Amino acid sequence: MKRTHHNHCERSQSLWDEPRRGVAISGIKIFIARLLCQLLRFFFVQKGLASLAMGILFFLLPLNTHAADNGALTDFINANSAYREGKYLQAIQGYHNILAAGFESGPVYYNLANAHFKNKELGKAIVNYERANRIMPRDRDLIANYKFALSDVVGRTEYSKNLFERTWTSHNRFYSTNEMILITVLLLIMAAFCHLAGLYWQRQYLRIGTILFALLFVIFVIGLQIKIDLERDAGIVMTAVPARFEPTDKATVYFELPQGQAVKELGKEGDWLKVERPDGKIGWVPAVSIERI
Amino acid sequence: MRNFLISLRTQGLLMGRGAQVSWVTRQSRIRLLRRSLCFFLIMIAVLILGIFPLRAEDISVEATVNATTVELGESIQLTLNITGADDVPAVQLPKVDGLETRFAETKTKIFLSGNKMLRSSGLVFTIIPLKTGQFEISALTIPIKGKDYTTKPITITVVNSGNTNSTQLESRGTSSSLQDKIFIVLGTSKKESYIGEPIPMVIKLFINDLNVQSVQYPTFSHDGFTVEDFTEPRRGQQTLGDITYQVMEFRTLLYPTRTGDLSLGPAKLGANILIKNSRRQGIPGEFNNIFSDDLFDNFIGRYETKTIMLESANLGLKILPLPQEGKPADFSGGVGKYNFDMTVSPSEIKVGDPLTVRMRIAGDGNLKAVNMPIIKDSKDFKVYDPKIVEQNGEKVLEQVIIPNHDKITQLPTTNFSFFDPVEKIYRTVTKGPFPLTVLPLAKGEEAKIVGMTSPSMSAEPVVTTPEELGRDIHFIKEAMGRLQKRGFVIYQSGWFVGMSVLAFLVWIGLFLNYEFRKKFTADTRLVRRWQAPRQAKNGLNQAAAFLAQNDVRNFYDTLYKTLQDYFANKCHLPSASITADIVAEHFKNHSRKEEFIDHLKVIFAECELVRFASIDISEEKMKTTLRLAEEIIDFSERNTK
Repeated sequence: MKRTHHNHCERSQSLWDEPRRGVAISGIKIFIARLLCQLLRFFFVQKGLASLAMGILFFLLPLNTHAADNGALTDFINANSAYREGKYLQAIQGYHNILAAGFESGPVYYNLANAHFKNKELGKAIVNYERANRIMPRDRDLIANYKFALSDVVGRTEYSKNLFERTWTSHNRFYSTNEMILITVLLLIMAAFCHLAGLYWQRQYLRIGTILFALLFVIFVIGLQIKIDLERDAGIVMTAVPARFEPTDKATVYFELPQGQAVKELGKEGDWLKVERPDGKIGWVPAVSIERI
Repeated sequence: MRNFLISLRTQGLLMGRGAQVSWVTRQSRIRLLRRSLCFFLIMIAVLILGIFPLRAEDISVEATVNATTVELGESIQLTLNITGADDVPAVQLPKVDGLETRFAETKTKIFLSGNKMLRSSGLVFTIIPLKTGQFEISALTIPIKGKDYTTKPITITVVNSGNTNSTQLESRGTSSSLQDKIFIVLGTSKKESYIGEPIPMVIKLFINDLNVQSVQYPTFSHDGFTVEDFTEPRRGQQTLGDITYQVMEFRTLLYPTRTGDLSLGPAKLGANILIKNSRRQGIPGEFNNIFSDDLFDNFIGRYETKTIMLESANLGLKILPLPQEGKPADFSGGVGKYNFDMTVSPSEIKVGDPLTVRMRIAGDGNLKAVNMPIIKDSKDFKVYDPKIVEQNGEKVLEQVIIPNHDKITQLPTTNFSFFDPVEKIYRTVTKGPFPLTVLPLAKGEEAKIVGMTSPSMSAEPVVTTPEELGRDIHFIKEAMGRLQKRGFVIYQSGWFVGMSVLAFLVWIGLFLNYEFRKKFTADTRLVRRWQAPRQAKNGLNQAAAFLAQNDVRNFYDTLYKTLQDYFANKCHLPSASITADIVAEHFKNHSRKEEFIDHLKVIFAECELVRFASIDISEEKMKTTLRLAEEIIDFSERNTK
């Protein structure tokens, strides 16, 4: 296999701009919010809808609640340097320091997964790609690396989905959980807004809008429910392990779980976990062999 | 039909009650009668067709056997099917030395073929081989209705029993336990074979005097072998000792994949057997004897189904490696006996025109293991990827090749080599060379070959291969992105909850506002009643202003109008119609109404006096009147809804 590296060194300049850009964006957001509020008040004050419009605007423009931590940034830079030099264990330690400080971000998990992959720890790489995917689900580098890591899992079991299931899954994977929550709430607000506007102005298109937003809201609520349910108990096999019929070492082996295989945790009995493979087969494995996403 | 119905109707035969029956009922009866007549006609047609004498060409006679190869000790069923004849003559099978024939039974079935009802009679014979060898049951001639019908001769091959574990059958045929009434035996045709050689394998289910249902296909351990699917199970009989067993055979082919002493089996087969339930529950004594009758038992079905799993003994096989001596360089991997054919068409073409090479390999070996000989790219020919299809027991290759120049005179020979396990030698079948006439291109004509860079036919063909891309993970991210608390979910944040609650409250407020306005717009009585005190307050303020200016006339005008409008709004009446009596009617249920009405009458009288008589009124009097008016409105607000 021929291996190539993408050189992204040109991005290192932007690293130092990150905190300043964050502050600047917050200022711009506030300015735009105020400007739009004035405009909306001008248009809606007669009908008393300014408050509602402001509420929507605040949802559209959420302000940063967590400032970038300088310590975390230092760790991140050091870990990246270690990665570049091929010191993957050192890089892993650096990324873990950020997580241990109680912070997380998509790139931190992504880089950590890359470091684990380079360090031949396929299970840990996949679990961190999954974590990164929950924060930045549309990142193309992440998707490519995740697929590449999965292709290295020998004997991986995957449930074959029909067209509807594939569409539904890709819809759910397109958004992060937080994005789905925001969109769901926004859709509800839009449906409520259209309903009220329809009452006040009695227009057909507003009634159609109400139904449309309500339908989308229902779809997103169902999707959100499934997404949360799937993500809640998901785990990745860290080391290849046999799944047994009972939670003891002497029990008959039911099937083998390769490193990097995704499973769902169903229960716990002492040091054993009851897991379900994507094809529905259920077995018991030692808890240490599974890491929750 | 319509005329027939009309005539029936006219005669009063169709409907007994004639005109008393409604039109709808009449129509439904007509429809019913039509359907009945149609059904009657169809039945007559079927009967006519059924009894119509069959013509001679409708009669056919055919003899079939359920197997053409049988092991010594097994039996074969020969069925003579006579279709289309009512009277089936007595048929005697010809005597064959080495075969014993017995008539078993007659099976008759009637079926519809096109518009004819045909009868088919099947005469079933059991053939028991007495020795090994090849036997021919000659053609049978059967006279039916003065005409002779002849069947085709049938050849039967009887072979010795192959490789079975001898202990499997030794103890059978003597005991009467369940294990001896039903068991399975695993066997192969040989004990020793070469790697890749097809080995016929049979799993036989022996049943004696048992009702067996739901027989499943057997499974068996076959480490070191690839196995084909089982063929349809074959039924027959086999005698072991003194007992004749019903036998069900499951046949397949094995292909050894490694050498050495390999073990096959054990084979397992699941089935249900019906066992008579001897345990009886009920009232003991005379009454119970009534139900102890076998016939009654059979009638009500006092049987229970028992699922059993039969298991055979293991079978050892010695698998030999293919000899290296004499192994051709182009050995295809095929082990068995194969036929190889090859054709090339057309034989006369122009430069750049396609030639189609067809190869066909058939035989009794494992076709999946056979690598087809392929014509490779050369200076003479541009070669495309072959299309290889395996179907109906043969492997077919089709390959398109294109001559590059007109100097070509033939397509070279093609070899196909395989190992013959019977003769234990490698064989090579050679086809070709195939003579070709390749014509040059006309002047100005260009050959169009995919993959050629130059129209010059002497140029080397350029084969376009897909670009090979490297595979690895993408590089790390340089920017840390927006940090958030670990496990942060948006609904845990205060602003999200706050904004959600605010949005909900705004929606509730606006919705209530809308509902309030809607109600307000629709109920004018309510609107007037709600507006009355505010308007009255404005009117009194205005009157107070006139009082301050000592404008007596306007003071009393305003005061009168204010009181009139107030009570008009309260009583939902026109202002002009308001008098003290009407107001008294409005307050009739109140205890202090007399005093209240007296005050109102005083004010109204004073107002009219000033407005129409122009008398002088002191400022004190005006103040008293204004206070009185305020008290009246206040009293009204406190004591009316």
